Amino acid sequence: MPRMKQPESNGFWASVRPLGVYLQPHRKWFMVGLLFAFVTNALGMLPPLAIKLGIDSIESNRGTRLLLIAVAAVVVLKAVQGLFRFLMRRILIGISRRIEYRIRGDLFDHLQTLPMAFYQRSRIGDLLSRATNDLNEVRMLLGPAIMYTFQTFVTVLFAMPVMLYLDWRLTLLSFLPLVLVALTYNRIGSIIHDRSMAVQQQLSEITAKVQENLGGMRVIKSFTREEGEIEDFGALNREYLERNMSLVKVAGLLRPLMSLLAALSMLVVLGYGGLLIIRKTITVGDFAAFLMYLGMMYWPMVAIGFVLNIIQRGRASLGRIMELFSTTSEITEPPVPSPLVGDHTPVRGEISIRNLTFSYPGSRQPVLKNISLHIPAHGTLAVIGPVGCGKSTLLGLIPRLFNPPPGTLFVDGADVLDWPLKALRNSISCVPQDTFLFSVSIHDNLTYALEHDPGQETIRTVVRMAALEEDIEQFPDKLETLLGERGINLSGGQKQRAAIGRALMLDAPILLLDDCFSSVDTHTEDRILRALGNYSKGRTSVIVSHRISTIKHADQIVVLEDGRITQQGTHEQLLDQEGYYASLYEKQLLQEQIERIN
Amino acid sequence: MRGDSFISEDTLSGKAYDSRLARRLYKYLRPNMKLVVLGSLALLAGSGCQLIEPYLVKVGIDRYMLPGDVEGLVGLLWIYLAVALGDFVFGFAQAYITNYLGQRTMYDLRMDIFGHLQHLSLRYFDRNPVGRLVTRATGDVEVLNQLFSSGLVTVIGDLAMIVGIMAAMLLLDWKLALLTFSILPVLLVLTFIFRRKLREAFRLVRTRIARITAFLQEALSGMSVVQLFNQQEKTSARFAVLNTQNMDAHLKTVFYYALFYPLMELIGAVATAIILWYGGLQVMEGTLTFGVLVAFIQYTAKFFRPISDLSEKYNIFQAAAASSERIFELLDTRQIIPEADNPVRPGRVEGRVEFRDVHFGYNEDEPVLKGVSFVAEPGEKIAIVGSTGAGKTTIINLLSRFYDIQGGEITIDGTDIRKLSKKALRRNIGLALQDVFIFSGTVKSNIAPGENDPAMERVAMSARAIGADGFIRKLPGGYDHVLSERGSTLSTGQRQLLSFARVMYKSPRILVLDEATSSVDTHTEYAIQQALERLIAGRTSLVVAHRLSTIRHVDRILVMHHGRIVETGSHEQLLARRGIYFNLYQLQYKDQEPATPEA
Repeated sequence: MPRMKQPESNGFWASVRPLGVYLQPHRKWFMVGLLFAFVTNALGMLPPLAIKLGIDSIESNRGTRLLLIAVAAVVVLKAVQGLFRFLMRRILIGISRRIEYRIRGDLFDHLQTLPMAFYQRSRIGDLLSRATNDLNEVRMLLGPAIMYTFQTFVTVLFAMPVMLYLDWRLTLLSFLPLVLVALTYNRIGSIIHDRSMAVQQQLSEITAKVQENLGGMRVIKSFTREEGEIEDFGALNREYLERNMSLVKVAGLLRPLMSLLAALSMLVVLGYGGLLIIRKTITVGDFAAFLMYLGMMYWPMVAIGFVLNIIQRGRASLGRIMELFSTTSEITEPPVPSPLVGDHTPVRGEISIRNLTFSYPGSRQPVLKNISLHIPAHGTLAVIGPVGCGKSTLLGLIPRLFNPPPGTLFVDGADVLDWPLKALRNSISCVPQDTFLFSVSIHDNLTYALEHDPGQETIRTVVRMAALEEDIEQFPDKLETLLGERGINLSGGQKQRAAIGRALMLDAPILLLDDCFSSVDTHTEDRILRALGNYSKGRTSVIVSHRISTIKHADQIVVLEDGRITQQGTHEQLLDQEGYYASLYEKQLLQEQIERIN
Repeated sequence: MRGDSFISEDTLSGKAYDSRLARRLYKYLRPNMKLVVLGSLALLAGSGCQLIEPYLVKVGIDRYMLPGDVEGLVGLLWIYLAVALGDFVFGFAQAYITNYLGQRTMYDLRMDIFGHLQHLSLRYFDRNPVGRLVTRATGDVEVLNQLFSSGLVTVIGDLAMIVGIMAAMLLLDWKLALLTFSILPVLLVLTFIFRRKLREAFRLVRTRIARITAFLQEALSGMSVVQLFNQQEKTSARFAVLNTQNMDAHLKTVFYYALFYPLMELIGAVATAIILWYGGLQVMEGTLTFGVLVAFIQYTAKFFRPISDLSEKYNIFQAAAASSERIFELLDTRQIIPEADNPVRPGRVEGRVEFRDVHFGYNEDEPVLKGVSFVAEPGEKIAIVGSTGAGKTTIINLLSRFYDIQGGEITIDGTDIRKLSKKALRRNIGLALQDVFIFSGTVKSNIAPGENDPAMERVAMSARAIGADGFIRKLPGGYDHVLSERGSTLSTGQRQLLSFARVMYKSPRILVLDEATSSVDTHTEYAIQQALERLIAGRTSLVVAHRLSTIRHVDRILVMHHGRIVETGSHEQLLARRGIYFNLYQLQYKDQEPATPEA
């Protein structure tokens, strides 16, 4: 279950409130972490005082005992502080990593509930970027941003009083340039951000140009346009150089400017502090301690600007992640499952479709128009028709990849909308048109849908039915051969046959085959079909195809054109009719004839 | 952080220095040697300023504060201000110069890569995915940029800084300095161990993130399968494993960082303690001044950054070595269509094309053309037909010499095309392909690609002759309307007409055309047919034909089957033979009959 809730208002706290749920289980350790941050920074105040003590004792020449104490204190204090700093970082940054882990897991679980309609309108790259880059920005907001803010706060809280105690005028004077450090950093930071964006934009221009150029290489060569292309690229390249340099003008300024501001603070201390030493108002020890405190204040001041940047980016990223969490699926469990479907009633596999008109969510153009069909249990229906006629859509409605309108699609007499989703999909094995296989072994792909390994014998039978045995014999590791990038790449036909095997393995009462022989040669197809003939005797099958050879043995054939049923009957009946089926048959005969020549 | 994304796991060679690569990179650096020298000087000057600052504090304490010399103190303040400003100016100058150096070098490198790509043979592009080549020209170059702008010069700077601080300390008090240096071995060993551990940890993090990305990519792409087979829970469990591994890897880096910083500080504290104790005793004995003591404490603080910086630079060097290796590999590729030694450069050819027993395969062992021979006389119009994979498009590719043949001969006006200059050859051939390629640019520059300032009159005349003038004028800006390959606004038919206008503008003697298979409405179909007729008039034309109307307008038809020409003749002759053409006609062209107006 997604645990994030979309905030109602737009304020800062409202925008980060969704993170509260994730912080909740860690609150005890989080508090401990903050406490350690407090101790760490509080302890950090002491070594300069110890050094001051040491120098003062040298100055007053009061023997070595005090000096020894001071020296020991410096080392011990740093050691203790180090221990606390170590614990603080582990706890606070560790919590941010754990929360990142939780959010990523929840996000993935949520994505798995989203319907196909969502995946059709989203780009995978964009989803990926949200689950990785954006999530990292949110983590930065949770970990480093909180840690640094707290550190700055505690350092200022402690250093200020000590410095004020040493000399309040010196403190105020030396602080002026330091405040400028924070302000400048934030200001320059935003200019740097803008110019970096401009640089990135130009980089993607360059990328696009190279991509376009390589894509159009044939035309470029035939118009001997190479020199012109180089010139065009040169212009983009020069612009990129200039944008980079305009970024460097600001980015290169940042560090020297920070140093300069710190040096100005130093100058104040040197001048005014020196005067105070001359007047004997402060000691050299005071002076040295003051210098060290000043050094200590420098980074926390820079951190303020840095943290402001992290927070801004983190909030924007959180918004993008929340957008995903607030997308919900309309493919939901029925409030009351149909009484016709029980855990112990075996599924017969009778499918009926009544006056089904369907259009995709967000579109008004119906893809299926007034379809009525009845497939008795253990029957075979074949659907054929031109590209885009709605064949695959019809098939996808049965396992509810999309929701059909209520009261139009029934399995075993119960509306599919009233079926428990899991039970419905468990009774259907499906070979989708896009034969997607995972980059695991062939064995694991075949048994993908099973809870337990079905055993050698079953696998061998399925492999034989899907006509895969010769291919598998040739693979380096047989059934254990890995697919995908780190394994072998299957041909289109092998992929389709593996997908068929995966579906057969499930042994479900309903079998849906969506144009799954298009890359399989006719001879192999014939073999598989003959094997299937036996297999599907006790099952209900729906086959979508372009090829007549695939479907001619079906009990019932339906021609779908532009979302409507235009012809219906058996192979022989349809051949006798004038229309799409007969003309397609004629063409496919011709094609075979051409192939046979030679 | 940004650099990390460019480093891909498998290609890290691990070497940070390779003399052969370094020599080649030096070639890019050499024209900008002045910048290297200037940058280094600025850097040294800046480091010098930073070194002087603690010394000035020492002088202030010893000479002016303790003796009470206010005037002297004021003078010192001016010097301090000047040094601080110097630090600022030199710091900025160094950043600017080194970045400029990096950018210049990148510019040159990118130009070389792009220019080299322009001259590679299509065979190379068949085997190397566009995405990978794009990375060479962008990502890999960017990694090298880090080497030039922040690696090379700053390493010199860091070294100078370390040496400078050590020298300053030795000069101030050599005994105290040597004593302070006793912590150096500990510091170096710690930094070394830490960097190695962290490098391993980050490698682990990168692998695990890559796994998460790959898994998400796959699971999200195959979500329909996951849902259809009810595998959400199992998939979640598998993802949780990767997600946990990723977190563990990150927690490891958290651990090392959490350990490293306090340890560094502790070593710093020990150094300070040594200085305070030993120095303090000497001050009491009067053999050391207060100023030196304070200056030493400040120098120690400055000592740490360059040391930890130096080890970080190692990563930059390593990544740069891997990237430059890949870049030079591309630049070394010599897969080009060779130009003849003394190329023939005919001004304008007659247009007699002959294929004599041509053998060719995209892969040497998979022949696509198996002995193709035919002659096209000047001005003759020939259609090439056949089922998919018969080798029709290959004939077109070969005539423009996008690939070199493996056997036989292709001649134009009797000269082997391998003896012609590539430019002259391609200038004489007009090419119109199925999927029309649109360059980013104006309509005008798309009709006359390769010309910097095309004559408007000729452009408009070409478009008018093709019948493209009408729709072009309706575009906002007319001929100056800007088109782009991405998000192009033109319809398929319009793109087709535009590519015809392109050929018309070029007005070559030989025309090679791969007709679009995509169906368009009758009106557009008619317009395209009209344009085609005007285009092929008077030129030697080779047309891969998909339309019956086109076939009817040619002089001769070549029927290809499995890489051979099996039938040749006019439409009627071939129909009468009742061979392959007859079957093809029934299959592909018969339906078109009512849709095409008879000419």
